[in-house]
Amino acid sequence: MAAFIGKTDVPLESAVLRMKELLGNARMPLIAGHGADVAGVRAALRVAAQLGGTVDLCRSPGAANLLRPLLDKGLMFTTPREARARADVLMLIGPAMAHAEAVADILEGQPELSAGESARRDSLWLCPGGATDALSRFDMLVADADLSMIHGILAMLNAVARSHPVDEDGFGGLVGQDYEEIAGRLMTARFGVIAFSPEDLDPLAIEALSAFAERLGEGTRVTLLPVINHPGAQTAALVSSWTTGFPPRLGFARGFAEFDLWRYDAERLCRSGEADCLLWLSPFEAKAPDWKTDLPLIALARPGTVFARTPEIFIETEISADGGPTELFSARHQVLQPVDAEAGGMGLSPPAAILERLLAHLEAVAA
Amino acid sequence: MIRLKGGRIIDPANGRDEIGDLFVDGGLIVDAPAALEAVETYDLTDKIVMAGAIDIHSHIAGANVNFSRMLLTEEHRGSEPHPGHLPFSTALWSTYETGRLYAEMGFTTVVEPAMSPQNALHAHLELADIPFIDKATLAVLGNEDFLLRLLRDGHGDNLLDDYVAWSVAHAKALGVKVINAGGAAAFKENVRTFGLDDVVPSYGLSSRAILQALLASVQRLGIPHPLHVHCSNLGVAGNFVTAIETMEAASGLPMHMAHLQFYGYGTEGKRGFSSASPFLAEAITYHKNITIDVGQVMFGQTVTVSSDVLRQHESRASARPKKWIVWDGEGNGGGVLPYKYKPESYYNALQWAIGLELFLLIDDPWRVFFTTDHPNGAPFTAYPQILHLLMSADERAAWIARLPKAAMTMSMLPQLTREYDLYEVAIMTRAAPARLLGLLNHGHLGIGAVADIAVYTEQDNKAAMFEAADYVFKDGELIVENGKVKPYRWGRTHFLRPGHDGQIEEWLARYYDSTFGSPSDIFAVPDRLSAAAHHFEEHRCRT
Repeated sequence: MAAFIGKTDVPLESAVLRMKELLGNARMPLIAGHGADVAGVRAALRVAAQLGGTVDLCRSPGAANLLRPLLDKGLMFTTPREARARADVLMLIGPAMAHAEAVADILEGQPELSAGESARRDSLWLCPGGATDALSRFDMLVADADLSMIHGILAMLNAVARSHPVDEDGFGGLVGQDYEEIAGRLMTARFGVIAFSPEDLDPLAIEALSAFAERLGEGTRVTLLPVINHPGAQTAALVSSWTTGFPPRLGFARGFAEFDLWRYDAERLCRSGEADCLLWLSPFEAKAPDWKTDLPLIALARPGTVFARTPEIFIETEISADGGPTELFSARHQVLQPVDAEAGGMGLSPPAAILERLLAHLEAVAA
Repeated sequence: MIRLKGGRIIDPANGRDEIGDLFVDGGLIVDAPAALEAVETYDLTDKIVMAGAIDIHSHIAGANVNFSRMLLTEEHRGSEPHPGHLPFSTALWSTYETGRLYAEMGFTTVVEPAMSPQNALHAHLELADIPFIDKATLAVLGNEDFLLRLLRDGHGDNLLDDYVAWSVAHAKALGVKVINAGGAAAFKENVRTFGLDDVVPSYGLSSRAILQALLASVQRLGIPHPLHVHCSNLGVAGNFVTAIETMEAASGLPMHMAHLQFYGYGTEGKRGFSSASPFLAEAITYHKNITIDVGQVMFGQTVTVSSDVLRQHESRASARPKKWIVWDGEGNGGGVLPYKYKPESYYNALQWAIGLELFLLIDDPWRVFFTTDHPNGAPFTAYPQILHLLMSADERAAWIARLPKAAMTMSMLPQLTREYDLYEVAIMTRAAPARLLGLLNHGHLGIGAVADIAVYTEQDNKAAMFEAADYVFKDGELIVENGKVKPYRWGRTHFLRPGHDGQIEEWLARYYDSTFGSPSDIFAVPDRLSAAAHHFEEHRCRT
C-alpha cells in the first residue's frame, strides 16, 4: 500500500483525513474517472451524495457514446453468446473490434442455432482501419471504408435498406454496389448481428446504425451488439442507474440526484471552474485525466500513473476480492460477474475500502 | 420483548380477527411472557394489525428494470432532498426508494418475478440494494436452447428436472416462471405471432408442450411455488381464449397465471375490444388448481417491462414516448416500452375496468392476488388507491362516472356491488401470498412467525389508510413510524437450492463451451455478495 500527500509517503489514514479536508472544504467536489467494481461505485456515489458533489464515471473512451442514443431512442441488441451461436451474418464495424475478447469468442464459434451445425458464418468487417491483422485468422470480407465518414456510410446503408436509389460511385471508399451487397447480406440473414464498439462510433452514428438495424428487422431478424471494453465504466453505469435512477453523469448539489450528460461532464466542469476539487478514480489502468486541470487533485489510481503535476493526494489502488466478495462487468461476457478472488494481487486497498474509510469520517461529521 | 397491545388483529392464516395483544422477541412472534414489566409496549387501541404484506409479482430489479431507468431518465427527475441518514431514498425509481415506499405501505416481502438466469447476479445485486424488505426472485425458463433441445430430443424427465433444479439453484431463485413459452425462441427465427399451439420451428415444440413439461417438472421437484405463467398472446383482443386454454392445459396441476387482466380481452363491440373477465372468472372458479394475480391498470405514464420479447417488439408502435428497447438473450431477453394509460381512451378505460372485474368476480381471495404487474399496469405506489376501489363501490362509481361511457357500457363493473373487507384484504395480500410462495413463517401472526407486522389506522378512505402505515416491524424491529421509515435496515433474499445429479453440470459445461464458448458457471450467483448487510435465506422443496 502506498499513499502520498504531495510527494511524501504517508499512512493511508493520514491520506484519508487529508481527503476529507479537501473534499469537505470544496464547494463542488467532483468524482470522475474510469469507474470501479460494484462496491467501489456504491461507495463513490455515497461520497458524492454525502458531499453534495458531482459524479462523472464516463471518462473511458466511448463510455458516454452509447448512453445518448440509448436514452433518446432506445436500442435493439443481443448478447455475445447469442451472436456466436446464432448470427449467420455478422458485420463488425470499426477498429476496436480487433481486440475485443467478446468478438473473438463469437468468431470462434458456428451459428449452429440458426443455420445448423455445419453452417458457416458470413462475416464482414466495415471500417477496420489498420486493424485487420488481429482477426486475419478468421475468414471474412473486409469493407475498408473510412471510419471518419461513418455518418455518410450509415446514411448510404439506411438508404439502401429503404430501397432508395444511391449513387453508383458510392461514398467513403465504397461504391454503390458495395452498399447493396452489405445491406443485402443482412437483409437475407436469418439472424444478423452488427457488432460495434462505442469507442469507434459517436452517438449520432449509433443512432443511425440503430435505425438501419430496426429497418432491416422489420423483414428479418437483425440486431446490434454494442461491445463494451471498459468494465469500470459499464459497472458504474449499471450501479449508478439502480442507485440513483441515472447513469453516472450526475450531481447531488440540491440534495437529490440530477442527471445531465453535458452539465456533469467532468472536463467541462474543470475547464469552466465550476468544480473546485477533483477526486480521480482509475483503478484499472494507470491513467490520469486526459485534460489539463489546476484543481486540487486527489487520485485513487493504479501505481505508476503519471500526472501532469503532482496530485495533492495519491493513493494507489486496484480492483481485487482480497477484502471480500465484489463484482465487475465482464468485457468478455458483457454481464456483471464476481471478481475472481485470485485477481489483483498487489495487496493494494480497492477503491471501496478507501472510500468507506472516507465515508466513516464524513458521516461522523454529518452526525 | 415488544408488546403490541389492544389492536384488532386480522390474521386469516390462523382464522383470527379479534382485539388482542401480540408479543415479539428475537424477531419472531412469541407467547405472552409470564411477567410484563420489562416489555416495551405499543398501545394499538383502535388500530388494525396485520402481517407485513407480500407482493408476489413486481418488477423491481434486474437488467430490464435498469434499462428502463436509463431509457426514461426524463420521467423520474427528482425534487426532494433525501434525509442525511437515508441517502438515495428520494431518488425516484431507485432501489433505495423502492424499499422505502414498499415499507411505508406496510409491505415486507416483494418478489421480482422475471429474473433471467443469465443476468441473475445483476438482479441479486440490485435486490441487495433495496432496503427494509425481504426479496425473492423467479427464474425465467422456457425459451433457452438447452431446455428446448432436451425436450425435442426426448431426454426424459430426470434430465429435465436436473436442469430446472440446477437453474433455480444457480440463479438463487425461489421458483420458476415461464414467459410466453417458446415465443422468444420463435421470435429469434423471425416468427411474429405465437399462440399456445404454435410451434417453435427448429424444435417442433409447441408452447403448450414446453409449458406442460415445466409444470410437471416444478411439481416433481417439490418447488413450493407453482409454475408462474405468463401466457402467450398478451394484450391481444380475443386472448381470453388463450388464457382459458392455458388453464385447461395445466390438467389439474398447480399453476399461477400472472397479470390476468392483460388476457381479459374479447373481440365484441364496434372496436373489436371487449371485456372477457366473466369467462375468466368462471374458468378460475372451475379450475381449483389455478391461482392468478390481476395486473391492475391505473391511469398515467408508466413503462412496460417484459421478457415477452416477441410481444414487446410487435407492440413497439404503441410506445409513448416513442422509444423502446428490445434485446435477445440466451433465454427470453427483454423489451422495454414506455406507455401512458389515458382515462379518455376507450381501450385503457376498459382495461382498468377488466382488472377490477376480475378482483370482484373471483370469489376466493385465496386464489386472486393483488398486483399491478409493477410497473406494467401501474407503479406499485397505486396500491392504496386500488385497495380503496376494491373496498368502496361508491369510489368505483365516482371513477366510472368520469370514464368514457362507451367503455363502461361494455363492462359489468358498474353493476358489481361487492366490497372487499379487511379480512379479505389480509388474505389476498398476506396469508395467501405466503402460502403460495412457500414462505410458511411469513404472512401470518401465529406463534413462531417472523415478526413482519404492519399497523394501520382504519379510515373510510382506504387509500389514505394503506399508503402510510402507523408502524411497520420487520423481523421484530421498528422500521416505519407514522408512515416514515427509520434508518436503513436490510432484509434477506429467499431462495431454493433443489438437488440435482452432477451429470447435468458436466453436460452443461460441454454445451456452454461448444455453443457459447464460455464456462457454464459464469452465471452462478455466489453465496456472498459485496453488499455488506445482504444475506440469502435458503428454503426447502417439498419432499
